[in-house]
Amino acid sequence: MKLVSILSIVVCGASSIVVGCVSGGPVPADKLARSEAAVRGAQEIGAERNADGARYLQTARAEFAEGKKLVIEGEQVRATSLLLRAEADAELAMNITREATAIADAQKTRNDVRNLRLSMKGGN
Amino acid sequence: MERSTKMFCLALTAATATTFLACASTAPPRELKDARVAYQVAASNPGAVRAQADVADAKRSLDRAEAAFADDPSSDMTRDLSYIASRKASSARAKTNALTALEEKKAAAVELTALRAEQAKQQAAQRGELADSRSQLASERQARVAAEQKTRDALATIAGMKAADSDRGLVLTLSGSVLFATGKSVLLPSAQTRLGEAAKAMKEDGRSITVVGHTDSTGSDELNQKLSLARAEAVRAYLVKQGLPADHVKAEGAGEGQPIADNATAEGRANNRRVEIILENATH
Repeated sequence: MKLVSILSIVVCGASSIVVGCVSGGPVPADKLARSEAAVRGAQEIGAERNADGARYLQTARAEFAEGKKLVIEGEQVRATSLLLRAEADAELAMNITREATAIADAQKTRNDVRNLRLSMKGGN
Repeated sequence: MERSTKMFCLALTAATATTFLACASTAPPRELKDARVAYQVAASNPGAVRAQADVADAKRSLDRAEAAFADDPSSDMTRDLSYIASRKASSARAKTNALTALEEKKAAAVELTALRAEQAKQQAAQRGELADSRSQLASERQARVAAEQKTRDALATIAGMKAADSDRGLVLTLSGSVLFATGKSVLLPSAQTRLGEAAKAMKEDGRSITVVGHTDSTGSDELNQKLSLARAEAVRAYLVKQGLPADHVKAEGAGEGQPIADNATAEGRANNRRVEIILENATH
């Protein structure tokens, strides 16, 4: 009987922790701010002008909007997940855009080198 | 009491075993599979060291997703963490590629700068060569003009000789009556003196010379052709005798074909009977 009582206490304690996590404490303000900053950063570097970047940015915006809505509705766990997803999508949009820009810049400089070499060889 | 404890322990063991078996047999969600592949791609990129921190972050993220999967394979948490891990791995891969491209661009820019410097050097050298060549041409032209003027001045002092510029060069015209007796092609003694003076000036000038004989329209064409050539030859022979190089002096007979005055008058015919000495312009 004593053992049953102890186990009951342990199970109840663990359940309380789990329930607490799921229904959520408040979403930390920095999660909201980091998601928002990531979305803004992706916009500022011009992710919308890159096809893949635009796609991930759009997803990030939708996730951020939904996350904010869930924060207000008190769905803290789901809100936190969505805000983290928004941040990850926005960062991917940013890095994909930077990647495309850097590759294009490198290619242009290599072309300039090749053209200059040709013109010097041709004596122009 | 003892029996119930045993029963409880057995039940607990069975429940735990069931949970483990369920975990082991549950297939990972699509998000986790994607995350594993995305991490492998990011980590195996030869340039991954450039975005080391991002690759490490992606690994931590994947570990969290794996832990969530082990804990509860079908939970939203597992799927969300897997999704985030997948995005972070793709992000690390993109950042690696961006940093690699930046380094490639930097190397190409260094090469471009060196090439531009080399090109500027080559262009400066070419400009220098061009300037030298232009200056040399200008000097040569100036010297030629001076020599021509000197020849013209010298020839202008010779009586009975007219000098005029033409497309072919400087043309000296000597009246036939000054050089030859009527119908003859032997130089008169007075003509030899004048031609001697002209020869001195022409020797200094150095240009190639063409002597062209002309007649008036009196007599047959054939005779006039022969006479004009014979007179040109006589003048050429005299000039060569005076020291002009033989291969620089040639003779031509134009006959009556190139009159400069009216053959109907005595004065016109006198003007048409002539010998022209042409100091040829250089062909370049």
